[in-house]
Amino acid sequence: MTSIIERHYRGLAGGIMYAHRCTDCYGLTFPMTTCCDDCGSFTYEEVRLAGRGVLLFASHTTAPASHPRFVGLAPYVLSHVLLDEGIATQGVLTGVDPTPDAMEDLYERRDVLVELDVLRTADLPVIAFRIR
Amino acid sequence: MATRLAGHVVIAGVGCTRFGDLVSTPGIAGLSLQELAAAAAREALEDAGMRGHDVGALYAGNATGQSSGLPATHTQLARWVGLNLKPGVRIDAAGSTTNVAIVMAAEAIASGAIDSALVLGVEADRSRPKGLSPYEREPIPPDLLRVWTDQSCDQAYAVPQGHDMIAACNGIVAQGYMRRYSMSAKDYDRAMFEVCRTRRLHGALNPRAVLQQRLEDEAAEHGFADPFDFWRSSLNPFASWPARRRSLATPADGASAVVLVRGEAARGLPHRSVTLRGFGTAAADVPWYTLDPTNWRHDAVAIHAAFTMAGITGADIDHLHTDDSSHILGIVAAERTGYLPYGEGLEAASAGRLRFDGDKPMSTHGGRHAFGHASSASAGSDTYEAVMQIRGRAGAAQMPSAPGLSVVATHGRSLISQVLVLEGN
Repeated sequence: MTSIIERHYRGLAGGIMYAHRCTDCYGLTFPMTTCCDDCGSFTYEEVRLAGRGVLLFASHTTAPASHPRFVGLAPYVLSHVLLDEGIATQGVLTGVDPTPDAMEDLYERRDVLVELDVLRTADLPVIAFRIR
Repeated sequence: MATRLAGHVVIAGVGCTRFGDLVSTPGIAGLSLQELAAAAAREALEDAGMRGHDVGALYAGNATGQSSGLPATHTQLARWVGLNLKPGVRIDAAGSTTNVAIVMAAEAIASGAIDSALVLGVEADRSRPKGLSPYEREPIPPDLLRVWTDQSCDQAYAVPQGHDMIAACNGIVAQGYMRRYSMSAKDYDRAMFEVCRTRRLHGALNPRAVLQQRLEDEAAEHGFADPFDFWRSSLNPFASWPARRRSLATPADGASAVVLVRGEAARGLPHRSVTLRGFGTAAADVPWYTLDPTNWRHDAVAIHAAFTMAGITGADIDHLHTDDSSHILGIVAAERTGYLPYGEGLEAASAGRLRFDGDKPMSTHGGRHAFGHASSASAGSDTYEAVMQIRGRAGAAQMPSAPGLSVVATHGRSLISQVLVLEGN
């Protein structure tokens, strides 16, 4: 048996974001759990997401990091992204300086398109986005 | 689904310690966490004219076992508060713990299972046991506190992938607010200065607050004639643009307690009781919002449930406490309750209307920044303040006209939205 969580991270290791599509209400649940976010059904099928979206907001974090995995990375930029499939999610935004000035510049821009940019930490591939 | 309690339940007594640091804060330095919890419990029991053995059950809250050393909170504290041999349970709803426990205790009382209950929240967000000592304490290293407190967040995905509470609850929500109401970053910064100024005024008037210095006095201490220059200086950097450090919570050690009894017993109480008129609770994991970071669906659900049960609208509220661990989030929640019109919260702050002597008083004990944030004790500190305001005994920050109805809306690590509607009898 492979756990759903392991499936998520193995997918990311290969550059793929998986979601569950409910077979009752057809709602998407991402990241994957054992039941539908919308209707609570336990029946679903796995689908691949495009890994593309639009940046809604982003702001910088502080050091020390909020988790030991990110000690070497902090401060970094946390992005709030609307995926093409209509799911809102958050992840590290790469390629942008984690400074107030850079955040203000980014805030002033609209419709910034982003795509999946898997961040390979020492022990885990994690979701990140980069500007397209 | 039932939308109200089967019986009448009142708050008979409240207690709250000074929020601070068990290592260095005068008045609490040197105490063990057991003694800190007992101090809050004793105050609440004496306020209710009761002893522990009069009470039916103990609801003991603690969120962070690493710093408290109280993983079995109920059993470890019962003897310290006079409830030995009584039933009880440990509760963890992070920053909403005490008020979630109030609801659970009220449900048990209304069911007829017990006649009274002691709710207790105790937390150490500043200090931890020193080595293996059962009584010596030391400061919590800054890189550990968020790791511990984030344990209440999604451990499958969000936390392992770089979730950051400060950015998610401050910078991103602030940008959402600016965009929704077409506000410039400059105007936002000025308004948040005013929000902080009010909270710090309230803290300066409260001998139990962790920060008892007005923002103006802190600025002067650092050589600034204009406190807004101090606000914009490197001494108050952006924690997550456009949110500055002084718009965030101040971690603290602290304890709070509440005694609840069946309404029929309220007649013989030594002090004015306060009715639990309504409540609502809803939970959601990160991210809490979709397109609009100011739209927190679990807040909407909890507020609707509480207000429906109480039969009130925002226009009926005389006094409001929201969880302002993120100052902007506290304003967003206030607007959601209807206490402040949408988009006018910061304008109200700038006009001084949120002060204890304003027409829309909020977070009158200083909120999470000035009063301090001791996770599982924080909601109880809000309830303590609400009860004291209703009784007209809130000290220097007492509202000129004691409120008849107070609403306390808290967040547990932003995951658990909890709303109480309290009314004086």
